Amino acid sequence: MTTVSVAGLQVSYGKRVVLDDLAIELGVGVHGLLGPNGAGKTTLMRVLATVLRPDRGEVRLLGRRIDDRVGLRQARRRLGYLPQAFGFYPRFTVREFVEYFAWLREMPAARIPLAVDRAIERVGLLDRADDRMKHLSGGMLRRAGIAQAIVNDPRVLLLDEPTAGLDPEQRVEFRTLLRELGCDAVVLVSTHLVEDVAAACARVSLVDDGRLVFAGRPEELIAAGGDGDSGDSPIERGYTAVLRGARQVSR
Amino acid sequence: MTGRLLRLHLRARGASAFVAGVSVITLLAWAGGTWLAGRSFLDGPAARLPVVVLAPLLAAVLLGSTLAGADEELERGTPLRWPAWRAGHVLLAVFAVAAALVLTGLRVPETFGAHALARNTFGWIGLVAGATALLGARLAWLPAFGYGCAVYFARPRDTGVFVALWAWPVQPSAAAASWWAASGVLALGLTGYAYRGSAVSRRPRPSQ
Repeated sequence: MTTVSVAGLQVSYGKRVVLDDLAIELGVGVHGLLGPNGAGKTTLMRVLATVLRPDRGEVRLLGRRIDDRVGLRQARRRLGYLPQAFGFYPRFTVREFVEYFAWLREMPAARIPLAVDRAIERVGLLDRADDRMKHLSGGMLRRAGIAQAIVNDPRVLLLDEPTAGLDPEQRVEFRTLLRELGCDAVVLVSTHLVEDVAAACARVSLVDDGRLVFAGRPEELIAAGGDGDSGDSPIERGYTAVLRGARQVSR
Repeated sequence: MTGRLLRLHLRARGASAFVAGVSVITLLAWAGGTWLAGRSFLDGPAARLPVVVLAPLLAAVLLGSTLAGADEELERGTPLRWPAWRAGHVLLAVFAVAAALVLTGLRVPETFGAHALARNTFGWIGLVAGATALLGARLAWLPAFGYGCAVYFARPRDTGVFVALWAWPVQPSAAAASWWAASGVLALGLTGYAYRGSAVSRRPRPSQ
């Protein structure tokens, strides 16, 4: 079932077109969003997170258009978002930070304490739940950010570079969490780490220069690469092959 | 809405630091106003002009830092009725600052006393709120501070309607047009801030 649908999306920053007539359909499961720097991944995430209004195009989240005020509020209640770099309140404890976002997402009051503890536990920060945010390491801050994104059990979860700053063991645990979350939600993970996509994602989309140039399963991306393509792993070779092909077509 | 959300929100926006700052400004305004009004070589209560201009301006500048969250983008992607919260935030601040400052000028409320302190609280907070919507909370103090300095040093003696409209912060409280100007600035600033929130760049932030 498609729960995120984007058609004819265009976003510009000044004269620079960042997303150009982009269309994408996402159903329940974990989706990887790949692409080089400046391809438009973060812009797409911001549009889907309802914090950036596109110049043109239609965006539907959970079947509702987000340019409709009522639909927007309903979608936001079921949305979780972790930006690439996020601001936080240094004097808040991890628990207060996550709880604040539970309130902002208008969760029922009675559900909040349990949901907060569950989200913190899922990211492995329960033993640091009462530490102030300013005392956390970069990786722990990232995990606190993931906890605020999942506290409301979102139906659409958008994670922009979630594994940046996580150590290898935490990344493995995070992939397990992603697979769990993807059982009943649309999870879109923007990343540069193609091995995360190969390990955790059911589908992958590749964006280059504001356009969707590939959408399929990770195995299909792997199959697109050959021995002559650059990259240290099969999926990296597939990634570079698809990018090269898309750029040749656009010339 | 619950008390718990309100408490977390107030902490997030640095309400305790704001209250402490406004308390200090109030004490200084009271001390400064009393000293200026009591000097025989000055104009009596009319000598309190610097206090009437500066005290509400400083309180408004302090308020500016509370008008944005640590991550505006992340917070405005939530379903909370932000326009109502933002309007409540500014109105509560107007009420608190005006109430505190008015107390310092009650002994002789006319000319440059309690009334002018209330008027300037409206105007300066409106200006800072409006600037927050246009420039973001970090730079919101700039237009108010620049305008405050310019109008204080220009200090026109005329109290005609046109002068009272543009030089409202330095007008005696009896100038009706100065109240219209300050109230208008508050209405515009409040509306702009309530609907837009603190300005956020359309471009994505650079990554960490």
